[in-house]
Amino acid sequence: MRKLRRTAFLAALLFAGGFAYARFWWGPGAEALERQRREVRVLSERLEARLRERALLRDGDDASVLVGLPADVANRLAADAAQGLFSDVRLALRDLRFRKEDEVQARLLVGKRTVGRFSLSIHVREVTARLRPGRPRLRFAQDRIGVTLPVAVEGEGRASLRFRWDGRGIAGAVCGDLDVAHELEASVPLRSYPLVGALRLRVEGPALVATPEFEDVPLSVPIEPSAATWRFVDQLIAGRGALCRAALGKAEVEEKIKALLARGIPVTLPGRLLERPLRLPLAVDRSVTLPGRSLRVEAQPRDVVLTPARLWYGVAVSLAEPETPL
Amino acid sequence: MRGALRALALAAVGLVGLFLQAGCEAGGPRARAESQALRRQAETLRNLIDAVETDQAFSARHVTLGIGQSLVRDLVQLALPIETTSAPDLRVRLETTEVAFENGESRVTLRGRVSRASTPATFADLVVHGGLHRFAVGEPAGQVTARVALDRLEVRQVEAEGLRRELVETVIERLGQPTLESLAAQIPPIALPLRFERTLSLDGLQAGAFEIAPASLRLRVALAHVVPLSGRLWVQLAVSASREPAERTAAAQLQGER
Repeated sequence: MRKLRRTAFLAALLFAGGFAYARFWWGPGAEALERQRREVRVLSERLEARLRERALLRDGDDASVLVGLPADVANRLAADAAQGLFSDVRLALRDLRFRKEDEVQARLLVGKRTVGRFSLSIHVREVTARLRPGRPRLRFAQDRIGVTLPVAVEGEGRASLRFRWDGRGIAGAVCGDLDVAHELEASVPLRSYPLVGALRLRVEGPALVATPEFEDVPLSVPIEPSAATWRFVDQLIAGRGALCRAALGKAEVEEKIKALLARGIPVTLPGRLLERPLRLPLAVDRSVTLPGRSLRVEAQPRDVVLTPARLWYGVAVSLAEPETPL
Repeated sequence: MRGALRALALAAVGLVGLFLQAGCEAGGPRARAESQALRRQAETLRNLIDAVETDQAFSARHVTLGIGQSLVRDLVQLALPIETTSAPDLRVRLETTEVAFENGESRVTLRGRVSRASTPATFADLVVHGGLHRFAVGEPAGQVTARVALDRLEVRQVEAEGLRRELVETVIERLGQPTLESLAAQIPPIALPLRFERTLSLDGLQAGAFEIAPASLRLRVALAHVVPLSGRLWVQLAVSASREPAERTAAAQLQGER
């Protein structure tokens, strides 16, 4: 019985050893390996297909470095750049003069008569406005990226207002002449202008450079007097007699001031203000340095490809011995 | 009783024979290693496909770099030759490299020789297998870097003076991980010769009634994914920007003027 048990134990040991040898020591057979290789190939092809359709991967035959910039990222970075780099653009206007003069007629008992002549002059001493770029919209097409950039203009100003009234006839006798001046505070109400242009792309050395191309943009900067100005006008009229008030009322001083300033100050935003080349912040190094050794990096730009969804550009990079000085 | 014992012994011997037969039909240690590598690759590829299909990787949110394997090979080659001497009396010298980016794996193969330090004419050709790992975007240089990790030695051909292959393999096995680590440590981090500028600056400018103040934009670059595929290392970077404080811009400008 003991002999049987010992033999059974040895047989089990032999069996386990044989199994372990075949299972763990020896690898799979040729067929099993081929199955595994095929599975890896299929998975690899599937991954590549997914990447090509989703990330739009492309291949540049001889470009050892490819850079892909998705439109979403470009839009986000352009917005950050516009709002970060152009966040402090100021407009300063000084010494601008506006003048309006006219005769005021009114229907009297004896018909329509000239009751006076007014002269309204506004001397804008200073207007300062700040331009705040909004979120740009980019369109990828051919060798350029179309850009629409909304810019909001808002500010404040100081001006002096002079109103002269030369009364005629009865109004002249009742009102007499007036010559009043007033310093006014004004604001430049918020107004938005679309700047339309493009970023022209070119590869310069190892870097991709985008040069903005914008036309000069005509702006009209309106000025809005503060409430104190209207109070001044009200008081100017309210302090007069009834006939004089009627004559000055015909002059419509408030409306004239509003109309004079509402046309706005014509200003041209020069395109060259924005036309400064922007380098994509990814560049190829000029050299590679390792302990005791340094090599020159030669970078030859290849193609720039713009699709609606992504920008690709390629650079052929090679390493060369440093040039020996002559 | 005796008959039963004999039958049991015969059955055991028969089964062992079958196992041996199965083992002999199989591919041996090299096939086992390849099978393990293929299993790893399939697992990696499945994870990558899953990540791409669920928009976790290679989405439109990232900047993509595609680095050719020949450029990386040239960069690794720059660090060669490397050598180490290990007990007992063996000198390992690696001189050339091959780099392949396929099936979601980066493979670095270094070739050289192992020889007796005392008798250099006694040598065997050696192949060391490894890959790229520990990818990072360096601070503050903004370069993408990776390290070479070595994980396997293989003796290919024995030359001269009767050095027996079995002996070399035994010795190599004894060298093991410390030798690989010592060799890998001699390869400096592979820095791709691409640099992300960390700051975008714009000088101040006056044009007519308009004036632009100098401004800077700080860029942050973080590594999102790395996929070796179709002969390229596809590196995905998350790039974001934020405005640099005005005083820093002014200080940078002042430094530039100096």
